[in-house]
Amino acid sequence: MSVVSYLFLAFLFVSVFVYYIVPGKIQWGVLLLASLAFYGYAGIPYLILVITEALAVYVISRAMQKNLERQNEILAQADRKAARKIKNEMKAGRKRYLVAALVILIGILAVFKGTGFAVENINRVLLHLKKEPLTAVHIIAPLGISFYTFMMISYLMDLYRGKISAQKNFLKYLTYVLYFPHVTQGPIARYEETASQMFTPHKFDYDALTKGLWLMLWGFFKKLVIADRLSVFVTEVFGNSVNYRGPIFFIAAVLYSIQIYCDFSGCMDIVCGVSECFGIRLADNFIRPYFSQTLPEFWRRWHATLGAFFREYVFYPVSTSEVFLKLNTRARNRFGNTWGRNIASCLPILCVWILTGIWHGCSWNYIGWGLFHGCLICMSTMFEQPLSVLTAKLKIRTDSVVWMIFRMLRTFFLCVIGRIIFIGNGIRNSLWMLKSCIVDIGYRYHLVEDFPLNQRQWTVLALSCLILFGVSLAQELRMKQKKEGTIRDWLAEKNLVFRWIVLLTGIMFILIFGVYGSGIGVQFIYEQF
Amino acid sequence: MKSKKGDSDLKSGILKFVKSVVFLLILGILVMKAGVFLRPMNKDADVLVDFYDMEKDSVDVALIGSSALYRFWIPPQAYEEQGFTSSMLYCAGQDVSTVPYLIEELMKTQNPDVILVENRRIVSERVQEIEKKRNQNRLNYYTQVLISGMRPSLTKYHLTDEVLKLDWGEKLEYMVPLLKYHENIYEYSMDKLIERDREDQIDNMVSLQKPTVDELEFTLYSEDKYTDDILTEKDFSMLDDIWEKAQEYGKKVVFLCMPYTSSARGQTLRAQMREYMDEKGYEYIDLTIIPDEIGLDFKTDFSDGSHANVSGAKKTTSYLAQYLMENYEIETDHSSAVQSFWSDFVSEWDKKEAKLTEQWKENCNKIQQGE
Repeated sequence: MSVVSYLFLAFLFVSVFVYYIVPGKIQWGVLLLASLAFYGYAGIPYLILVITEALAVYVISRAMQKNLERQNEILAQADRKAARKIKNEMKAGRKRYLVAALVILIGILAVFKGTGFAVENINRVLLHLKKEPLTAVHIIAPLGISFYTFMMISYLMDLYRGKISAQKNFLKYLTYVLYFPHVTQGPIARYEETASQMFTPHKFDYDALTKGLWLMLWGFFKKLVIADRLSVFVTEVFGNSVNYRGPIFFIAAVLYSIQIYCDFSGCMDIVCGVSECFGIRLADNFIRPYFSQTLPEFWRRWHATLGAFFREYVFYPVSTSEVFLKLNTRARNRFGNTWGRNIASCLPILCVWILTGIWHGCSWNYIGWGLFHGCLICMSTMFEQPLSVLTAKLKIRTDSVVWMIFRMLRTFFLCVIGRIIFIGNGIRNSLWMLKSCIVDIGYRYHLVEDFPLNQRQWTVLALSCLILFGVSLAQELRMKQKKEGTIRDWLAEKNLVFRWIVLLTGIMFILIFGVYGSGIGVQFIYEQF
Repeated sequence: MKSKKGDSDLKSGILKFVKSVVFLLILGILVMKAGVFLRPMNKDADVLVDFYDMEKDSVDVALIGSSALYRFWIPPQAYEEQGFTSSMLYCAGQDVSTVPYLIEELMKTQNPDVILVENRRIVSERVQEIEKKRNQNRLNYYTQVLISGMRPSLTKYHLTDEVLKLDWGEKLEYMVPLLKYHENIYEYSMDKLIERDREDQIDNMVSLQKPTVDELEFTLYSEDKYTDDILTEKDFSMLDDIWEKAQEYGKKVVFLCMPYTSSARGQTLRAQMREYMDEKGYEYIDLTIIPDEIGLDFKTDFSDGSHANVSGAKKTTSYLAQYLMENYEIETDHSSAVQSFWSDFVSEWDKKEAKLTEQWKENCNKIQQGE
């Protein structure tokens, strides 16, 4: 059930209505039933799979919790000498449980997402060796498997580290995993942030509900008016790349950057708005990433929860592991303090980025994209100090608006290059398109005559992007000036007539210019992950 | 204190509720207006929009049918000659199973003395099916265009459900036309949309006749030339449904078939229909068997085998209008507003008719000269 379908809106209306008429203590039960219906709509077998995985994690998490409680009981009676030994033994036990759970979760994820890729590459080798290839495999992954798997992993890791206690009630735990606003595309919710809100009774709050609806409206604008309209052009260029040459790939990548931002952040606005209708606030996943001045900043603002997940559960554990600490020491001894430190810090970064690429899909162009960003971030880390010295020597005013705009455009440009790698039909196609941007620079196309969008559609797109930029800029300036509240809070303070004009114009704009209706809808890009 | 706070909360809650309702009402009006504005750029999409603009209870004779109706009937001429007003609810290739719903829609704002239902499509659809040329998608398209201008109502809902058999999402789109037709903002120029909106009913209603001429042969077959084809239970049940629907409103329906060059197959089926009508006591004006009485000349009065041109339409209108006036009780008292409207209608038609007749004469001359 897509969040931009009539069915979903009807479903949401019923869910919210029932949620606020039942007693507060069982409101979470309404969320669970709604989530089961939502996910079950995609297919009962997949629902059974998710529930089975959640059950396995629940059982293991209860075992870990019992282990921790037993540890505390024993430690209360043990002396200091024995305490350390007991602690290490019990922690080793919890670690075994954790590893077992991770093997199950990552194993299932790998089977669904990686089998086809593995067979494809094994066949390449077999063909090279002139042996009989394996039968090609194409397994359809359950909806949102990457997202709910990561949520379960974060739950287990936080439990292992003692940040949270295991949920005793399996149905409540299932509610957290299957919570329908975030199950298909995130944000990847941390248990401690979300659960407390989910299981607390919520009174009907008209203002919160309306603000949630306003956020959904903004999401629909981004998705239906901008993203799905741009998709027509982007799909034409990248889907039929053999028919094109030259800078058109770069132009299409720029527009794809806008499309993917509007598609994904639009979805996030819709799901966050939906969640706010239930009085539950989800984490911001997109914080106007194209205003970033460096790539590390970009990745803190783009899909923020995924970045936080990899930072917290991959980068820090890897970079503070014994193996990497030893590597750090050896690198410093070999290459000196500065370069040694740089090399040692780059390896975990590259690990994270290869995993990020694989998370998007088991394909060489995704891995290539991950390596591209990984290398750029490594270079950004390594050359931060020398560049700072150079900037000072050249007397560049780093606080000037011109310098900030330059850095934003530079960051955006690098992202666009990454998009070409990301969207190619395989790594060879990606590299060919990049090459064509330069060697075939003389090729020209007419945006109206040579592509499926007519002049009026381009005009509406341009106007919509202007509106998007204006609102985003206003929000960004509010953040920089450390003003409290969002644009929605600002709108809520305005008089009734102004608010209604804005809302009615917004709704009519979406209904008239949006891409929707029977047989027209475009799937969310990140739903495939 | 608690009671005061409680009162204040209640007042605040009621105020918020009222504001929400008013907001949704305004939104609803904007959405409906925009939907009608963006309906398909097809004259048939204007039929119901123009019909709703007719003065309430001002229509004496209502006619429902396909192009086999509107290419033969000229309302201003009938008014000029016999003094009664008439309105057509039509679309190209109209599916006869939509007629009961159109009668329902008609009776919401009008109270005609006579309802005529043109039913040629029952026979021609059966003939096409036999000859394997029937296209359900095309039929559905015509119906969809017709109802694009229909006001949201249970009638419209039942039409989309029972005739078009749409799923609930598509039904919702028909009930809220903006959801279905919003992409037309990109297809049509704003000038055309505004110009279409400014065109009044009269402009549309005087544009239905053609001056083209197709030289045809007509044969009225005798029974020994009839084929073995038959009309089915479903075909007859459509007639029954129409009859029963009209009875619900205390109205009698008169079935009608306009002249055309039908095949032996078509005439076989039409004979079966006449027989059925006689059995059931339905009134049936079958003009297909009396073209000479109407004064029709198949060499000059038709634009193609199925449709009359302006000359044929004038003759058919004269004949039928007189027949209706002589055989049915039709009240012709009208308010001054209605009379004024019809006076304008007649004037506009007279101007249009003069041009069409001139073109028709030229076309006849060309044919005579072998061009």
